[in-house]
Amino acid sequence: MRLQLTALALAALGARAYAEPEGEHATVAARTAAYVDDDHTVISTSTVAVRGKPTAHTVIAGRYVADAVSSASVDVISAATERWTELRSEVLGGVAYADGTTTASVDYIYSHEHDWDSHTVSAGASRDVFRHNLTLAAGASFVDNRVGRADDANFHERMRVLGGTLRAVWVGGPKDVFTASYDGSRARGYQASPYRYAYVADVMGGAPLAFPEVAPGERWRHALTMRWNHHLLRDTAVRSHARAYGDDWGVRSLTAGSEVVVGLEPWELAVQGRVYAQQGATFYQDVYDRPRMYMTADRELSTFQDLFVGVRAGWIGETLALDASVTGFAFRFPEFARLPRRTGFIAMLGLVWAL
Amino acid sequence: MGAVRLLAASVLFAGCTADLDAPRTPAELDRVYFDCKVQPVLAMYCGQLACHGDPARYFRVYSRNRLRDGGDETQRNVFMRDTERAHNYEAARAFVDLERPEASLLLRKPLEQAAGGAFHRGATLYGGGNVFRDTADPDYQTIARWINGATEDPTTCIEPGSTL
Amino acid sequence: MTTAIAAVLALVLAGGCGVKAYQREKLAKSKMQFNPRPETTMLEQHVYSYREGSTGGYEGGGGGCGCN
Repeated sequence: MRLQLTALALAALGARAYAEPEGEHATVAARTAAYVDDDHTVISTSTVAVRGKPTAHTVIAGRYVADAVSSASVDVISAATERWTELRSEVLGGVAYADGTTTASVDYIYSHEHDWDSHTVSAGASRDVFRHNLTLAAGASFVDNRVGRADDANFHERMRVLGGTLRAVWVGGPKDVFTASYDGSRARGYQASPYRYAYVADVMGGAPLAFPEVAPGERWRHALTMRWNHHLLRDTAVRSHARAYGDDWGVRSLTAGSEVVVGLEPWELAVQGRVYAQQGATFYQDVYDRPRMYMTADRELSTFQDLFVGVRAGWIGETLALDASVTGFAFRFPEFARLPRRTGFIAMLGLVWAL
Repeated sequence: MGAVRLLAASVLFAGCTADLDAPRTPAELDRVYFDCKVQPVLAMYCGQLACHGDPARYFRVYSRNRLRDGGDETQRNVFMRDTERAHNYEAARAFVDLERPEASLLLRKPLEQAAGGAFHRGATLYGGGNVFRDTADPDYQTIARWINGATEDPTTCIEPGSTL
Repeated sequence: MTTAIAAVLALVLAGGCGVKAYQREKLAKSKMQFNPRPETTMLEQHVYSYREGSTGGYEGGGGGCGCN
């Protein structure tokens, strides 16, 4: 009981890797996922995480993630280049303290691609009050990104992100738990892409002109998120969430979703849906009417909507848990003529082994 | 309450930042110099149909006997049309960095990386290296002079292949 | 800020102050956790962050990447 509540506290903390091991044992978690879309992009991701409890109140965690990307997306074709492939690796190490009332954690993440290096440091703490009915948590992170360009020894840019989180988790009743959080961040530095070019209409009616992408050097981002987990029937949970996001580039979005998890011991079945609607950046245009100070060809900065729907099945044993999921998605880009729609799926297999 | 309102407003109105879609003042670069001196360099080194004479490329160059803006095969070698010269000028100007002229992609893309150039797929496609070995190349200097404000007397410069 | 905290406290006191430890059996289940599978959350949030223009609000973030 206390361990599960500690997990709640660690999750409230936003700790990246600390689902509490069952009992006093260490755990090994492995997961592999495949992302496939009709924009000719395939991403294979595998991760292995290890967590242990060297003392009663200490959790240490390590995680390795490997991404393999293969893409001939519309962005690539626009540059008249062929399919490209890329590998990304990420390593996480962290330590957390949790005594059932107070938690504290520190993480370090290093990620590497052939044109990107990133160092992330994060820390957080939480405290239970009112007899564990309320958990207050705060966290901060700093990311130092070294941006390069494939096969270009002379392209060196930097982008740093400083972020903070405030979160409250409270027990609403024997069957309800809620969380509300604010996440804010400030990014400074190079935030465009050396691979993308924005189109500007030719005033003489000819083919549009291409300009190297230029983005503002600073971005303030804010997110307010509410989540509610409700237990019903014998062993069913409804997990719902909603997020409002805004930044000073003009991007505003709403996210909402829900997952119904049914326990049929030792099996667990879940169905989830998530919708997302975004208003694009102030300076985004599919084809610019005239050259602007800031121009982007990033469709993720346009106005668009997406929908994710998935199913998951899990088997939970004494020391081993397995799960598999498939999620289908659809994007609609009304402001990006080169790719007005994108659909695909994500398939995942996971294993957790308590040693 | 004031702090709560401020927080909600900061999210809802976080996008209200002025001037992000302000227009850009284009580089005031001499058109005659471009037509007479720079355009021939682009045509000679860049306008091949497999390179920037490919309309799929972001940087597109029209030139005689290569990419043309309209017409049929019998017209592929006619003199450059005004619209094509204008497009080449605007396309080249788009790759000029006003704040750091020496960093302009129009200069750095065709320059060997060992001399400070940028990645250029054309340098690796046919095994022949990049267009300019170093910044001392006369044709590199032609483009650099244009970017740095060189002008040309329209009465003395006859654009090669022009109708003048 | 004071009002926000008071509102949260009011919700807690109204609903949760009477929730004793022995009444939390259902809350202790993994399906009632906000992040029961950190690796799944990390992978999902990775997809959302590089396919959408928003970020934040959910646990399990990974490191930086040039994914867009």
